[in-house]
Amino acid sequence: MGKATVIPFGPQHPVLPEPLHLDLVVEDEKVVEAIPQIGFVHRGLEKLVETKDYNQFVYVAERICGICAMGHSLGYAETVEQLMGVEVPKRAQYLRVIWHELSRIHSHILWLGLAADAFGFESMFMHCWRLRERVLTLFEKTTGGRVILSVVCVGGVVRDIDDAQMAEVISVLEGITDEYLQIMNTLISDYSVKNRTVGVGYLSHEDALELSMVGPFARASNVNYDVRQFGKGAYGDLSDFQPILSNEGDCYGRVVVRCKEVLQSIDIIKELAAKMPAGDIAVPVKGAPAADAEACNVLEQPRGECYYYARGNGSKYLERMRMRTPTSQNIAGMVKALDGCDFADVNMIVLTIDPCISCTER
Amino acid sequence: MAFASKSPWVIHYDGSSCNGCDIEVLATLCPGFDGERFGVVNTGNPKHADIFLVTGSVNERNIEVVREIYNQMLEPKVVVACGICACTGGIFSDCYNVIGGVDQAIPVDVYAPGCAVRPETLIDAIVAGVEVLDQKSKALAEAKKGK
Amino acid sequence: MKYTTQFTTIPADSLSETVAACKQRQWRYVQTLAVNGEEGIDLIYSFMDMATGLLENYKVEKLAKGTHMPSITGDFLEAFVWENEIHDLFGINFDGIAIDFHGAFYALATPEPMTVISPAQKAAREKAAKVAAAKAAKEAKAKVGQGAAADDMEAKLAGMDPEKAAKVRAAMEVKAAKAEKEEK
Repeated sequence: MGKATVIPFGPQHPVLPEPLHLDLVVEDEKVVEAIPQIGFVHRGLEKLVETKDYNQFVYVAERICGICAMGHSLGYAETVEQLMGVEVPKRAQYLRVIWHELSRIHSHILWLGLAADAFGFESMFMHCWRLRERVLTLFEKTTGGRVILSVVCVGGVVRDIDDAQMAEVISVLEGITDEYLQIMNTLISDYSVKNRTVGVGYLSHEDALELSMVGPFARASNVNYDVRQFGKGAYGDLSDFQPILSNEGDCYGRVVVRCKEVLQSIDIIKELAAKMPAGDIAVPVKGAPAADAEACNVLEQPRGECYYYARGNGSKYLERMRMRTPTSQNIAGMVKALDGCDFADVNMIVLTIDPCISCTER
Repeated sequence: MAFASKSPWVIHYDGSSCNGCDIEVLATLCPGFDGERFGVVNTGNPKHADIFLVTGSVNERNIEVVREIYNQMLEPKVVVACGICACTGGIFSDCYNVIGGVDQAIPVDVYAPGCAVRPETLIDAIVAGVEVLDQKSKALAEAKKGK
Repeated sequence: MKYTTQFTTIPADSLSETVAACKQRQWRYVQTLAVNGEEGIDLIYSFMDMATGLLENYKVEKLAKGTHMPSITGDFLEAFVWENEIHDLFGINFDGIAIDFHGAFYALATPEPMTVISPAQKAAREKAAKVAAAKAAKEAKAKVGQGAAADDMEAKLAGMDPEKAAKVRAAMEVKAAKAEKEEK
């Protein structure tokens, strides 16, 4: 029986892009308990609904998280549209999904790079982020922003992608695919990567259901749930959508699920671009949400299912706006996965839930 | 003769940021914009770093952490506030838990605005920071000689 | 599997049984949130039925600040994040949270900040209430006062110069005809 030491991890750590504090109770080299502490990024932005009306709040919602920016603005806009009974034109729905899937591609490639850096594979980190730059250039060409896109508004989207630009988007994505497949095969079949990830941070299917985990973190433990299955919006026009699952349940499984989701997103974008309908890109939205009207909405963000809730009070300021983000749901899963792991694997496990602490704390 | 400015090592910390500026900081050091050709290396240890890149505003819990990292760095040191939240608090400046920009916690030498701050701005900010580093280094050397 | 949502109000003391029933039926826990309404704090617990795609939101309404509610972390451990957050931001106490931070979850300058009603929010609520009251009064008046307005008009016309009264009557007829045409 070794003596227990408490080692503080974070909030400042080279592998963590965000501040998260863990008190790791360690005996010899094994972690016996992990106590999380968050609160470093809490800004209290949900209270800003009182001073920014429902149109202006889209810009605040985007800035909850820079990586999932498109997802949050989309989820917020959809919730307010539900609250006010606004029907968004088909073309706008397609454009929103295309940008959202591009956002998923950029987020997963970003994560792959950080995960590789977490176990020391720095050159893979550089390659992934170099590839990601091409997706960010697409964002810049179609929306004007690399990270914060500001392209969604309540009622539709603000900009259109014409046919020439769409063709460019498709050709860039096809150009990325070859190189991406090389990266993916290295990560999935390389001996050293497998050594560091197989069997690390294992969570069984029952654990995943018990802890209500969401997103690729849960799908790696074979939980068959992805909000895109419900077919809301443009997702309903896809010929077939199956969530990507893995039986592994460990860090390796999570890497595999996210790698394959990038390819799935590229296919979704190509399919929707081919079927894109003509039409308006936004409807004008007048008036205010009714007093005591409520709406809730779920959306599949890159990190999992995100729940939005809005309540109106009769004025143009919402009474309450609430986002429940996927990482916060997965914190309990992370704490469970850290139980009994090696101290050197803590980085890897914390990163495989794809933590987005700024989303969690808003 | 300032050696630090030939290869300034940076330490990056996210205050209460949304992450947008953090990923742009990392993108600056990656092959897309290649900050590393200026000799910039991202270190995790405050005692190895010359330039402190802070993103995000400071909130109640984070203000002590930012000060702690700053105090652990060795002279001469430069602070670059990346992104509008680090400069003034940005869109969140009237939120209840946000104290303000990073200059509420530590003295800032270079302000790089933007939401999210662009890598081109960051490279300019690092170059400006290196000039300030040179000046500080010179002042330190002269103070030593003066003794 | 079709996605549907609904909101159901439940009394505060039936919360534990409702949640335990959801666990029995293997429904997935989605989230807990609090709303600072005008008459008290509402708590909303969401669960999803994975077999049918129903997202059920259970509402516990109008709780006072400082009320003690049972924690659901016994059934759903991951709720500890929300219960700690609601305790810090709204002031509802949850008894028996599995991982309890005792108020240190977020370090806040003002305690229970989400229950602080800022002047802007108060003004917005008052304005909305005034607009709603005015609308209701107008509608009520329109229903009752249609007859009374006509009587008033006749009284005025009787007291006017006959030539002027004839012009006013003609103008009223033109207006009525126009309104009828527009309605068609």
